[in-house]
Amino acid sequence: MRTDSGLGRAMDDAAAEAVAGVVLDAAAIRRRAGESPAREATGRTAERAASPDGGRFSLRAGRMRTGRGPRRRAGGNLLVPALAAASVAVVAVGLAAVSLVVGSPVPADRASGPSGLPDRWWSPPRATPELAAGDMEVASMALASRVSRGAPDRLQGFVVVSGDGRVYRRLPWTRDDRAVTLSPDGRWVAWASERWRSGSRDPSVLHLLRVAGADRVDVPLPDLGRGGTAERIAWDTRTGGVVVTGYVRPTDGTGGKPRSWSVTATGKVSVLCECAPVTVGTGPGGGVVQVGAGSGAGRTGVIPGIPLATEQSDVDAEAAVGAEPALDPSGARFAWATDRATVAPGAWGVLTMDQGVVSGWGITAEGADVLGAKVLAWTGTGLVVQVFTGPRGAALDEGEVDGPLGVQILDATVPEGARSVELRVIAMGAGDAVEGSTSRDVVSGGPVAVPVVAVARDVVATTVHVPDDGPVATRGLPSGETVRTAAAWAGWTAAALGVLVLVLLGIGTVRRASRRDTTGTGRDDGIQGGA
Amino acid sequence: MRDVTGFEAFVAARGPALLRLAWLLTADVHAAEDLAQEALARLVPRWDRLGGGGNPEAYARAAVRSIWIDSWRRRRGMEVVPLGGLSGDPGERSWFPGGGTGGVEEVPVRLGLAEALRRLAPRQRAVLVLRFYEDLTEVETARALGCSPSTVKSQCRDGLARLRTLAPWLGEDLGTGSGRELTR
Repeated sequence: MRTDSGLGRAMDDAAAEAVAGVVLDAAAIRRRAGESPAREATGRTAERAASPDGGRFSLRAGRMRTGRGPRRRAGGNLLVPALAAASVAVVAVGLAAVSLVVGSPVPADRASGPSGLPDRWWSPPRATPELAAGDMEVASMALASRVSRGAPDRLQGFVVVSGDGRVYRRLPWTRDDRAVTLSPDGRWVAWASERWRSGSRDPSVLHLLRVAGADRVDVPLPDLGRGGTAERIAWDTRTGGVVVTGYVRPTDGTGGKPRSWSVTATGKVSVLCECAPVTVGTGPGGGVVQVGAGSGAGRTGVIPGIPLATEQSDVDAEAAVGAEPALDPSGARFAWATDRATVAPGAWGVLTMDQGVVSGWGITAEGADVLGAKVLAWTGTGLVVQVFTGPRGAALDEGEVDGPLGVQILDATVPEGARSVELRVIAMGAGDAVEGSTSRDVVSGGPVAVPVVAVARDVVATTVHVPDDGPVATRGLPSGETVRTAAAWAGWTAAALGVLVLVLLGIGTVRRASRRDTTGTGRDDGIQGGA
Repeated sequence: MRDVTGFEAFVAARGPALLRLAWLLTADVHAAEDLAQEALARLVPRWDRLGGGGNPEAYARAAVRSIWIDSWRRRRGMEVVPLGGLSGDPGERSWFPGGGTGGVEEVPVRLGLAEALRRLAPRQRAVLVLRFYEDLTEVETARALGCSPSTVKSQCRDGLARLRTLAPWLGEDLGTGSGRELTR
């Protein structure tokens, strides 16, 4: 409240009563930061208010004050915008044709060192086909990328990469999807659809998709009503199902409450606990281990009701804030990436927590700045870490935040200025950590850093390395899919051109009528008489 | 965003104030939460620049206003709470006291104002909130809403008159005596 008026105070009191108990979740807000379109215009306007001189707002909607006369004049001036639109349409058609060409996978310019990872991956082409039966037996990783669904749109979505790294297929996603996860063996993909986000009253759904058959089971999550969010999904080898953690929104309008569910392979849903751990994983004997959040940051423990003996350990809570730790298969260790000075001043690093002992390793990049990192998984030998790098000394242009660079794609946050992604394996020895091989994104589709959102732990650990004997042959796109995509583009383009022609014809009619009004030859006597 | 802790601290400290502003504009708790979240989400990519030496709250408040106004103009996105639920004669509501001291006994008054605000037309409510809660001048309010200052003046007058009808116990706060609120 900025006023001292009595009404202002009364409003403040009323508002305080109304929103009592509602708590904003900073983490959820950060995830949401990349989901709303066209924020730039408002953002710039609002930013002027934050300037030292206070600025002035310009939120006028000119059309609200436009009467008949101005509209008529505006109609005569629409020719220039129409011609501009036609030019844009022509350019769009050209770009669409080009995108179908340059969007195809391009082999990496170099092979990486020995690793259980696919030795390279590509920015998925926009015409990436949807996963179908027989496309791949197992998936090694899931990427978040902008791909097309056959129409000239480029929605954010998930793409799975086969175990040998050669086949890319997109998942049948919607705008409501989040928290995609691969099973350790790479045979299943799980993700959640928060359907209330698109206005549906249907309950949110957990999708369990079998990679080999492309068939899936949809399990309703009735608790995830309006405002509820699914934060993370972990595989539970004890039950063969998954553990979903998130927040539910009580019907009384109060703030979100943490909750975790266990979903069995048969689709049975049960509430595991009223808690939302930072992460969950499978411990020895198949138990479920959690790493606490909030006041319990950095504390590992067992979700009540599931027998498992794990040492409770504390770690610097400050260092764990905002981290997304990964649990190792034994459930006794976890690791997370951080940019805090715990590891090295001003640098990113990886911290591991093993029986109460914290160890750290810095992350460096030759000739580039490390702009972010995330621990994806533990393997048998160490960690798989995703590292975002950008040109050294690159300026972080605020204007690029909503553009192709630095856009937040679903659950994968790409740091501002990031231009490439590497996967690194950190081998954990006795007190030593050796940074091993890298798997580098080629960035074939443009300057967009394509993030990895999940890896299949066992696949990564066991995949046979492709020898460094030259570029790997890329499996071509199915010709039928390409043709369908091109046909869709052509259809949309034809429709747009048709609308444009109609607009131009309408403008011509308005202008002719306007001339008649000016010369007095076209006046409607009936209207004048009525006046 | 590098300063995650700073952003979280800002959300914790100023989030309730943004929620209150959002609720006054939307008159709905869920919509207010969505609105405040969206405004803060727009702040996220600019936090590293504004969080240090800028004025992030001014940015967030302006974002709340502009998001609401944009969505209200488009008549989509934000839900408009349907009118109704209150009887036409506020005197029929037995829990309306004549005034209060700011203590517990004043809670029904606050609830009454909440209901009264809900019953205002969105444009009237927006004018009153911008004028008397955000303390914008008539010209600034007109610029924000994309209308003329005279429209703001008439909407303000009508809105206050409507509030006086719906919530007569707020007579002093509404400037019935001196007209102070109307002439600012």
